[in-house]
Amino acid sequence: MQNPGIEKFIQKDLPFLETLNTNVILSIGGDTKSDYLNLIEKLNNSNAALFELNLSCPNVGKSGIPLGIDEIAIFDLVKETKKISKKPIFVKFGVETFLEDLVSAAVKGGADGVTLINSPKGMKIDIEKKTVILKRGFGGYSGPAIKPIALATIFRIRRKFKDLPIIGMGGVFDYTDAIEFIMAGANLVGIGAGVMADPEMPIKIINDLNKYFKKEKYEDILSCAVEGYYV
Amino acid sequence: MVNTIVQDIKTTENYILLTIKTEKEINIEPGQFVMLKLKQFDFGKPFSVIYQEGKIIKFLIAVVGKMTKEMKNLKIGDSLELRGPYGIPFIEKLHKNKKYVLLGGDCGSAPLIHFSEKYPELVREQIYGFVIPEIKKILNIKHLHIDIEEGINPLQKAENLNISNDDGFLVCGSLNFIKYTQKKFMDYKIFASLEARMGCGIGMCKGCPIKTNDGIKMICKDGPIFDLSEVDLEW
Repeated sequence: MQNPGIEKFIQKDLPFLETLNTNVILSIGGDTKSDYLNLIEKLNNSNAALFELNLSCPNVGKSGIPLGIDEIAIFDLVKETKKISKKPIFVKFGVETFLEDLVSAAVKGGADGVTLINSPKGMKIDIEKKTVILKRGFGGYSGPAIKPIALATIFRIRRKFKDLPIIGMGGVFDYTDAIEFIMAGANLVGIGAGVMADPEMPIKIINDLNKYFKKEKYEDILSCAVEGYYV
Repeated sequence: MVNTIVQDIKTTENYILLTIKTEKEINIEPGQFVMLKLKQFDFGKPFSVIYQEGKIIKFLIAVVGKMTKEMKNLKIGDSLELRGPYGIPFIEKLHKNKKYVLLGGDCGSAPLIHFSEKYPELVREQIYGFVIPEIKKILNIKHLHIDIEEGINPLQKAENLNISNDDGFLVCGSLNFIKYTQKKFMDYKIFASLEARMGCGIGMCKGCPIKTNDGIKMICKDGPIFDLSEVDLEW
């Protein structure tokens, strides 16, 4: 995502984030391995809880394959970032055909967990004006429409990696969505587009989940994810 | 998110004049916008206000898409959700030592009418242009210009106004309307309220970019009011 860059972030946004009584995840993205290493060095002494490497951008690695779908590049990047990082490293993936292999490469490199899923690409065309709606033609397609894709992706990865911490996201708009994500195998649930639709949505979801768990046992839905009705 | 109740709704084929009452009072400066959302939609849409006092807010809405088509069916007493206000208002961008010609194209007239009510001392002239007289069925205001009745468009009318070189323009309407204004009045200071499809209204989704002399900005967060000498409308 376009942003003011690391120096302005450290100066303006990080001090505010560090005042919050919650776990802050710093999601970083770059064009090359040295970009990622540079960002981690600069942010290593913040009080963030963990780093997320966003690999889902269409940047091309050495082999000419986009970084996010190149097993060797992923393994190498995670290994190198783990060497210098003072915090756990999560890797964020999009929806890829051989995602199990990519996650496997990240895990072998030392990844502490994965975030699933980044937005798939989508576009909209105005047939009257005969033009595309977005400046670059296409962009990240998010919100409730991608929820089934996110759930299936988490499910796939959870089935193969029983103990891997997963942050699940993609179309969470209410507490029932969050429960579905936990049941599919997510350990943490993220909200993206939902916050854009309503910045107060996370508070509502947490309150609704607290009500839900007064009636239901957390262990019951967790065991559904870990032991699985589906294996 | 503030809940609101429909107090009044007037519709024509292509326009809605919607009056709502918010559950708590919010202050909306002319040029700012709010996100309105119907319950059956996941995302809200941005709307400028034409009038606000206390808990009462009025919107002039062009029926152009799925949500505005649904809005035509709102009844008195129905509720809709409101977020905001967002964006930087006219008064924080313009030069207060100037007087301004307010030039509205279609429903783009709304924030300018709002401005004229709040800051009459900054207004030199006003033209609110609509192509056909349909709008008169629901909007009864001074300075309404109907193209087919007058035989000229609002910009041609503006050319004949008695304005000084120190005056500026505040313009809101379609992108073409704004571009045309810029071309015709290139020697004047022009501030435009730019329209865009917006996902969030708060700068997160990056869905409303505009190229400026200071890099890419978001219309929702850094605008919607821009000094036209600072933006590239052809980008």
